[in-house]
Amino acid sequence: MSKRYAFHVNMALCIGCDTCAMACKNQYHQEAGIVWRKVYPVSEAIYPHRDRAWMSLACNHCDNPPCLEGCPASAYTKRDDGVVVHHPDLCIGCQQCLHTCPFGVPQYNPHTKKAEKCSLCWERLDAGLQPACVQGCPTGALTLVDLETFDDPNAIQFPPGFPHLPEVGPSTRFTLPEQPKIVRRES
Amino acid sequence: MHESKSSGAQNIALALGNNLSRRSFLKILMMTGAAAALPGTGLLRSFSQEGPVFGRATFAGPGAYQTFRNACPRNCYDTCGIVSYVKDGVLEFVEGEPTSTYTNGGLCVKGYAYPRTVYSPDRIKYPMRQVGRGSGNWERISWEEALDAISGKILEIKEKDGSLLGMALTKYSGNFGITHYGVEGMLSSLGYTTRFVGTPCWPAGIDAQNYDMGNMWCNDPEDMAQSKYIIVWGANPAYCSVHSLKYIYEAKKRGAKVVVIDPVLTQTAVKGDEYWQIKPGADGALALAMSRHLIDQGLVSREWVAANGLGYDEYEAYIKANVTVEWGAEQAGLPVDVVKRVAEEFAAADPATIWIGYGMQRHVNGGVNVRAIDALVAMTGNVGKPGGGARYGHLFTWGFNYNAMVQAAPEGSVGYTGATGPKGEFDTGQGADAAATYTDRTFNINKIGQEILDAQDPPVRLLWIANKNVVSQDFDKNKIVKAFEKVEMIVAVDLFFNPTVEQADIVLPTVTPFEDWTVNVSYWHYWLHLNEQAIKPLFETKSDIEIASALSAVLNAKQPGSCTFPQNIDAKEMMIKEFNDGIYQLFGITSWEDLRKGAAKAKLPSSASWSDLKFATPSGKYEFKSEIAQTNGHTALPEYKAGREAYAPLRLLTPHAKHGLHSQFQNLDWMHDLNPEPLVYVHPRTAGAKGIVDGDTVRVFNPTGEIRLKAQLTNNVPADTLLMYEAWFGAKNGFNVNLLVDDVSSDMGAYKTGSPGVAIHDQFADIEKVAA
Amino acid sequence: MTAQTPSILHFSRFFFAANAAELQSAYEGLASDGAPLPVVTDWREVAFSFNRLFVGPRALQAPPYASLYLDGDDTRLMGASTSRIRQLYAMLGLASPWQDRIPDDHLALELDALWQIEQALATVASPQLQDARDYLIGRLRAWVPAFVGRIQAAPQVHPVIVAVADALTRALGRVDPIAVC
Repeated sequence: MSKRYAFHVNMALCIGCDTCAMACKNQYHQEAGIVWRKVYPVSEAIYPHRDRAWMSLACNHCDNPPCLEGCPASAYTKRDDGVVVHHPDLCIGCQQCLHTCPFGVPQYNPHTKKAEKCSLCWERLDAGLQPACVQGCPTGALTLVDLETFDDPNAIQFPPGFPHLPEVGPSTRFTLPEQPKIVRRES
Repeated sequence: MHESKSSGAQNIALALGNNLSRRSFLKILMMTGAAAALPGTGLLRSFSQEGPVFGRATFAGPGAYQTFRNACPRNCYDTCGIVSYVKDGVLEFVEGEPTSTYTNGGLCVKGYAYPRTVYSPDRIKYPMRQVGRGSGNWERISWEEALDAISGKILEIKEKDGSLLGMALTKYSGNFGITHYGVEGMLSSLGYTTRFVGTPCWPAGIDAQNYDMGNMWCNDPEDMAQSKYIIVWGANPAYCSVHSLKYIYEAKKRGAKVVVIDPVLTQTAVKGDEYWQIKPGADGALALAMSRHLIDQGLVSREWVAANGLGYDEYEAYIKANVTVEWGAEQAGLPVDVVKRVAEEFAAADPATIWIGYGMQRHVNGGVNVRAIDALVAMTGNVGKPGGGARYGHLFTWGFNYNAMVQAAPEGSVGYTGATGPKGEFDTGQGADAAATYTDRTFNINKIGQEILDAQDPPVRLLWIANKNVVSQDFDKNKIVKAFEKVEMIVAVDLFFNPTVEQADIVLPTVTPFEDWTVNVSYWHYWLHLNEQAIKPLFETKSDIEIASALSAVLNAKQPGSCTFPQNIDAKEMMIKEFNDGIYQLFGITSWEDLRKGAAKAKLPSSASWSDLKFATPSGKYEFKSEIAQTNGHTALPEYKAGREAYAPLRLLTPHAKHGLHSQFQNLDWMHDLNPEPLVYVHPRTAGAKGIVDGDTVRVFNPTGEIRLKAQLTNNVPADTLLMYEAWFGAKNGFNVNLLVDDVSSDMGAYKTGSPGVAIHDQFADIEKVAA
Repeated sequence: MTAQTPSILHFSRFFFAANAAELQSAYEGLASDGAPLPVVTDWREVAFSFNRLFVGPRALQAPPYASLYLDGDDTRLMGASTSRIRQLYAMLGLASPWQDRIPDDHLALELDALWQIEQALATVASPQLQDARDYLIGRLRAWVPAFVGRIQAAPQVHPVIVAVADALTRALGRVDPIAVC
């Protein structure tokens, strides 16, 4: 059976340390201003403490990737293992994918005049290595899972604050953050 | 290709991607005589007959890189092992050391930014001299010119004063590689000088643990996974020790409870089971209150204190006479029932541990507060136990030769004749000559401004600054800049043009870890990392010991015998000379070369410090009552000591940041992508009363100085507290928390590090909205 | 061989100068080529400005490295363009003695390569060298204008350096009218 690779973002373990985002830059040397993985703070409406719960997001490597469907240059392919790869050599820089991706993943690089995004470190995967961000995560909050075998009962596909788009089928899975008992100073 | 549209140029562009084409191109040039017609004597030279090493033209898979072992030396708990991937002489990317279970193959946000440090076009590249301090008029000089000027000043001072005490060194933690103690060695090799001694970081706690146990020695952090109860007290590993979190998580997974005590609802705090918002500086009162409750409930480990303690009965009597749970809870601002419950839970858990952070000892009562917490751990019998312990730090693995550091003064050197103490926490006393008539003169590293202003007979004439961005990181910036006006020559050795270099007369360019040979250990975990030279030093950068060696050569040429530092050193040989049999045995290796295959961990008899319960105190016991403390002017028992009186309406906290380590990393462009600007964090109620809304530009001010920056509203901070994370954001941003932090001392530190610490978190300020 | 050939050498030496004396020497070379350049009274002032622009220790106003302009990443040395020019030097049988220390795409090194090719072409007819020359001129024309733009925009810039930079732009424009876009 073929694999279906996905990121599992365990927000209960995530400390928002930005290591994953920097590990990606370290590997791909994106120019200043271009970030493939970003660690977003969860809004206070969802988690009651500002900048204390985080959602580390890159490409969601969707089941039905709108970037691929809308690309006039066939610059996107979906591999058998689920990875949605962007091919810069085919990309014509039309920016269609920037509009069709509901998660705002592809970024336009004004220097190369092409789109770019996380392709799940497919070269590293093929070499038997973990994606750079996953290898870098110091707390085990970001892992690579195979959805064919992944059966964590606490993991969900659409946490609060993440676009609810079942028809697109984003592969990323989430575990929600927890809250400590808080004893504030009596002032 | 953007370079050209012509077909000839296109051929070249294509050839550049093809190894074979390039070779045949050169072959044709040689056959047709065209190669011989190139002068080959310009800036570019004809290479020898072996021919060029062509770069790999195709995509580099993981096997296409040379790898080297490095270590992050930037004063961090984690001191990560690094694997560096080099292609065609260029550092392409870094990864965490996979053979260390602590680093575990990953770095942190700072470590992954290293390629940006190495190849920043803004690195300092050449020795340079500023014509008019602070003028911004810099001329490039050769190393020879730089060392001629510096050596000239050294000889001039000796001639004028009859000693070299007019030359001073301030150096701290910019690079903790063992060979970098060669900076101290350089000063020793010149004679007796003035040293700024101590540490701004952790001295009060070091003294506290020395009074209690005879040394600072923590359990292996990896054994926290076995703890049944963890109190993280004034530490924020989610920002400052990200690799430790996994052990706390593992303990939680196995059923342990985690309580985080901190004035701020930190990122660590929300990962615990319970968070207590303590009043800053009330840590001692809280520990005493918890201890009182243990006494009242009969939860003290009588057996342990009887067998291993000294003066426990007196401590208990002190607590009974002076402390109630209600009083201590009120001091800390916490409910009595909560304090009682956690004290009971802590006593019941086996093993239970407290991680004592460096933040909580940066107070005027910080040292004695650490002692009270140590006592709490000891009273419950948790000292000396795997998974237990009063964890603070250790220097257990630092037994190197300090070959670069230990240098003799030149014959006939004249120095200081008064009494001096240790020169910092890493001063092992090695090389000290008890019979020597003279010593160095020591000044408090944490009061550099005041010390320079006060220095006489001789004044500080020449100041050498290495591994330290004094003007950003030392206290009361304005006073420091004023004091510098008194100094005749300032030499700064650094990577980037920071506010310290701005005030220097001569700047010397130095190396990153990737251009250096050294060896690194941690003051927290027990791993040993080799640091190999992975790439050539860029431009004219030199390591600290190469600078010392070059200076020695110049001085000895001018005045034979005037400097004992070895000349013509080899950096790798100097690294090898730091190893000894003790290190080899401790780490179970036979040669330093074993470390090329991966990291080594100390072979510990137990993961617990003090596992044999033989303490290094005069009594050999855990000293609840310390006579040494009393001799040094403290209470013998860890008695309550009040905090600093407020001098402005709001408490000001300036702890360590997520995206930087002191003044390193946050200046890099990649870091700006993730964290673009400094902020002051204000409670919404406090902000509301001042008419401040989120994103407003504000002025934070106190008698020491003022800062303007944006405010962020958050109830992560208490209403009576302002929070700013310390950092240097680079040349375009003048943010510096030490415009607001004065140099008032903490209670302890002088015993083991030579100077007391600084009450960094006993600071106060006010805030108001200003026009953006 | 064109009349501008010696100038390329002097431009190279100017941008590689380590101090006021070397700046002056290269400048006099340029002036002797007939370039219309202003008279300089204080070479130290020129050196201060030169260092602010190209050397340090402050963050550089106009770093003289091609990759910062060609690779779209103006805060990292040793980029892909650095590797490409090193390969070109190797194809010519040349190498920088400062390899891996000073990036191979320092303006002075690229100009030196151009000067050496010009020297060779003066004595031998080599289509390969002609191609290399076309490539190099095209490359220099692709980044030097942006570099010169940063010089012109720099605060406190010494007018003499602007004059030399403008002269370089003109010289590169004249070297070969047919080769490039």
